[in-house]
Amino acid sequence: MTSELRGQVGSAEGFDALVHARLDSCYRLAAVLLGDRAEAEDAVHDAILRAQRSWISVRDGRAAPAWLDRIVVNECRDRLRRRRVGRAAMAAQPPNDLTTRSVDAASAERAALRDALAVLSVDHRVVVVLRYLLDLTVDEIAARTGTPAGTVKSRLHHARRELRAAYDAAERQADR
Amino acid sequence: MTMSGDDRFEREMRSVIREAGSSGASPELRERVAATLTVRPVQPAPSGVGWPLVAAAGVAIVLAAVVLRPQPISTALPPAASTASDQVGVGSAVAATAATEIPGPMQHPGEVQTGQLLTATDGVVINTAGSILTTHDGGATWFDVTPSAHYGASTEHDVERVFFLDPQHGWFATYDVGSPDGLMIWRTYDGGTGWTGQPMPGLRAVNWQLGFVTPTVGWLATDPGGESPKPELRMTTNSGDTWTDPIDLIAATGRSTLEQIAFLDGQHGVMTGDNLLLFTSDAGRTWSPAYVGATDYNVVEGTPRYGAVHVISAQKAFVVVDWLDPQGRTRGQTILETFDGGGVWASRYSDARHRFWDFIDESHWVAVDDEWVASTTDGASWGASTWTGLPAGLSSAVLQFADPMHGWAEVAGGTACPGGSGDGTGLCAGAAVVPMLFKTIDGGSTWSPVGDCDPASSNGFACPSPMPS
Repeated sequence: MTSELRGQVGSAEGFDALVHARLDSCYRLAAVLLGDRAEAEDAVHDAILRAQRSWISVRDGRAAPAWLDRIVVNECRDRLRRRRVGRAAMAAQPPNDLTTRSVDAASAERAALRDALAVLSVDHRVVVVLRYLLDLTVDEIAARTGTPAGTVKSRLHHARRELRAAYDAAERQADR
Repeated sequence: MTMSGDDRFEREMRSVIREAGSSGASPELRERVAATLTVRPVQPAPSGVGWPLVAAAGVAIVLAAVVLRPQPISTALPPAASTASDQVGVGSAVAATAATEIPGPMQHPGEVQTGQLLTATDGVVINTAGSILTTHDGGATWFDVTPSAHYGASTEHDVERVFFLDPQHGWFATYDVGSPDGLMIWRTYDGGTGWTGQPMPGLRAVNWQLGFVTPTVGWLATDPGGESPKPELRMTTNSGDTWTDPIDLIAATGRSTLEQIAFLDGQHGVMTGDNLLLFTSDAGRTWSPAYVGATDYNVVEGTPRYGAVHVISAQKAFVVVDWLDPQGRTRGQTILETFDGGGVWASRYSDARHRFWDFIDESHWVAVDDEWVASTTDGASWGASTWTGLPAGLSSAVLQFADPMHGWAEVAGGTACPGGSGDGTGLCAGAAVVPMLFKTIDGGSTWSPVGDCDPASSNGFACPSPMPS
């Protein structure tokens, strides 16, 4: 896909190729970040609209996937911040997709992880999802969030600590 | 905690997240996207209002955007004269201007995500919309000083950080992944009334740090990220009109990642990170391990993580060391102090707690943990009280005190744990707070949000009513 894009950056055909190649990945990213499938579809659609308007500025096809991911992340981050309440509300009533889908079959630890993920701060959730869903390195996450690598490392550290605390607490509970 | 426990946690974490993201785009979304792709937006021609789209080969363009408040009206700065002979000619050519009148003072800055307290009454914040706002009356009124050409030029440039040396002199940088324009550096000499934007053509900088020790002397550290890390350092002595040739930080330090850098003056700088404390006395060309005197290892032990450098003067600075256990949790802290610009550090204070610190000057320190605020005027005797107004379970905070009474705290990631976590971290699973900025005018005893406060998301602290000014 990347090699195809090299000759097409800035062109309509190049943008179509990028979107078709990355649509599933963008949707998965938005779905985990937002925890809501319907909103994830809206977010991806809006992100593609934004990307289309500024596609002409992209000169390097190799960077295009990261560029598109960043727009999706920004769109999701904006939506989460607008939600804001979401965080407190989700603690009491976790989002359906993230929390209830397989709760019956999942272990207590996995349920605790889902709950803890749902109430992570916006920035922490973004780095965790990019790390564990897309297997990105710290630098690659930095490219998609526009934050320094040191900030990414710090956010990952704190996010993992929160998630680990939830996981350990559930594990202790299960051992009783 | 055993390795198998760590492995199991990692595996479960990955599995849970991938399970949540296991489905691809639905047919309905594909149809919506396909419909979007068939409608091509009209690409606007370059408007010429403040965006350097036409650049002759080898000619860098300086972009100036003038944002006009109702009063006073000010023009962009003239470029300062270059004085360094070893500086390259970035930003030495054409200037363009754009002017936009912005609304008068606002009562609220919106939802604030980060900020910098400059004096007891002057501050600058970035809200969640990416706007830069300043206050000169302790937060009673705010001015949106975002350079308008910045947003007119690109929709994907998010302003996430600004650096203000004082209420007048400020800088920030933007970088758009995939754009050929390179890093763009913006500066103001009049508190945001006028901005000058300077492109750094071809400079890829997914990660960057920008700082100044005087209005003219500063540093720029960059890293293109990706699979080929190339951290570099550039210095300026003329406000950023020109920069030195890049210093290869991999060659100079052996580190392939861009670590935290701070300069105390134009020559002396410090680099900090995990198990890393380096200093330079030649403007970053060479770096050496700093000497650290004896630390009270009876109080704290583990792997040292050297935090941000709190610069007090050209000779004096403080660094907070977090001592990490094998699980990466902070088990205690040491305050290090240097008197020689970063070469030699002495331990001033150690404690088996995890606090967040600010150093107002040589003698006034402030520390906040999840319950107490403490301050000292000599590093030995302390006064302390419990605080109110910050989120319960405070686990992350950046403190900035302009004087012993006036301070801001940027708070993120707190988790409420009424019964205690039981694992020594003070943390537990539960609702976390939205990153927010808080202020105090009584030395940290009481805090209130800077910016809008939504009771529904305040998670454990009460939004003041009416909103504080």
